[in-house]
Amino acid sequence: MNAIEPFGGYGLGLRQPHYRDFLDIDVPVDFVEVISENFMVDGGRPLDVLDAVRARHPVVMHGVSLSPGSAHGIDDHYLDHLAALVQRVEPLWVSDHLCWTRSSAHNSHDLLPLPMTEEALDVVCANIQKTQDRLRRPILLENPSSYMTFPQDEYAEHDFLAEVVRRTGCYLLLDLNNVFVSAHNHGFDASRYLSALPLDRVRQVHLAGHMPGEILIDTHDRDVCEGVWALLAAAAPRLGPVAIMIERDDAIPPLADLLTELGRARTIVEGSKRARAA
Amino acid sequence: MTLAALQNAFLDALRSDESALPASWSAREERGFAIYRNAYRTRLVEVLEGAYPRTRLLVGEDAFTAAAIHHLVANPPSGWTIDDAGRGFETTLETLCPSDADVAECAWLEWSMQQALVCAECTPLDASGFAAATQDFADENWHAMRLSFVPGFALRSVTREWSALWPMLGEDGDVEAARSAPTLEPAMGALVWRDGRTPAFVMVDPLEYAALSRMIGGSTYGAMCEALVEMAGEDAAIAGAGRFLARWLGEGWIAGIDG
Repeated sequence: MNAIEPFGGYGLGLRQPHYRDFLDIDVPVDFVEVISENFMVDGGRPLDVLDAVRARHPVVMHGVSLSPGSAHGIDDHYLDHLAALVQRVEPLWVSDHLCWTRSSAHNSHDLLPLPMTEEALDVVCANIQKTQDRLRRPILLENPSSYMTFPQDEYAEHDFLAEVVRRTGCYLLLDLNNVFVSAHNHGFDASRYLSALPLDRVRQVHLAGHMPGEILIDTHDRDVCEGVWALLAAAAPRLGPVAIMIERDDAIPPLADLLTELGRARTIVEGSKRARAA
Repeated sequence: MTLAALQNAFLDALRSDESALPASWSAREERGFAIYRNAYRTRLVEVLEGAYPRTRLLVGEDAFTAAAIHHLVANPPSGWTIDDAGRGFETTLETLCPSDADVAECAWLEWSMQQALVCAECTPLDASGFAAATQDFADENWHAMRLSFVPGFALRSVTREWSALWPMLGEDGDVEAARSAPTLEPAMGALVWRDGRTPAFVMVDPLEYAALSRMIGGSTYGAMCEALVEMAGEDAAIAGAGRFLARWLGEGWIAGIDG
């Protein structure tokens, strides 16, 4: 299976309130991330928008419904639609989450937590292998945010992810907000989590906001918090060239606000590169 | 417990407060699970709110939320696309509001428009293409002709003038005015399709509704004409059938000719 070459740059997710901006002006981003499922449709205006954006920018596809942790396997119908979209878009890469979304009968449409067990590891690896075989390319797997762990856990999440990478040859989408949220919710050390991951396999970084509280909720509806910026500053010297983006899904502000946040990410990462070179 | 059993139990518990949580879970796990349960319900209700804004305005926020929860309990999502969570909501509303036809009709229109927005591409048959395809038709060919319609094309009988009601239920609309609009007698047809890149609908009179519903159902052109004769008499039927066919071609509703 082909390797995914590193791509260094700064991007944003394509969201409906910004469609007009992306169609009318030259938005200063190096890549655009699209939610795969939003464009897995038969035809019409959404695909017009996608094609127009793709003509201007490199695109990465980010999914929420692959359900690689499902004990009931990958939905072939879903995979066929995903493969068709990959063929249309020719994205830099395709990503989804370490989670499960569906049982044998129903779909939660949420990124549900997996028990970190040997059985779950086998399931995830088999499902990712099947996906990669069908798409004929390795995928990126995103570390999840979660609100509970399971009594039967046998692995720490970072070890689980590292083992999935080792067994399947997939890459990682490192969501620093998810690390921050889960570290708070489960009481682990975010820096140690990062150190345990195979950071050379990271091809993309997500930055997002969350709802504060006793349990942090991964809402993507507000600015990136200072703790997550600090994590980016800590991780940047250890990452190779990666695609970094602000992920905003709710309470979506004007595009200019997101570009300002992206500028802060650029300042942190480019500053880290300069410090390394000096 | 196997992973499959755990996932089935987890999802059952997300959907129903009455499903027992695993006995091995502590209060900490139950607290975390409650967030997933709340998110599951909130997200799916929001999907229905987004898909049916006019229906929501028509029935009121509380009644809509109750109907949405009822629908999601009775029809838990099974497909990979969350948009499908709203499929069949008009049927749920018909059951919940049997004496309020407006609600189900409005929901049907909203759902059909949404489907038309993302339906497959198709170049409709135009008048010249139709003329070329039928130039050698003998009488029996005309009688046996069947039509296929463009993707996203949908039709149903309605009891309200939705062309007038639709803007009343939009932003800054007037729900009271919509509610007090007269009922149609006899019922007419509402027809949805994608006009270029934009979903659209028109009202059609009872005779055209009868003609269209038969052709969509697979009737031959001959059988459809015979049904129109029964409904309206020979002269009106002959004039109507020709006029309808010209309109359907002109509007871009016909995808092709079969048989």
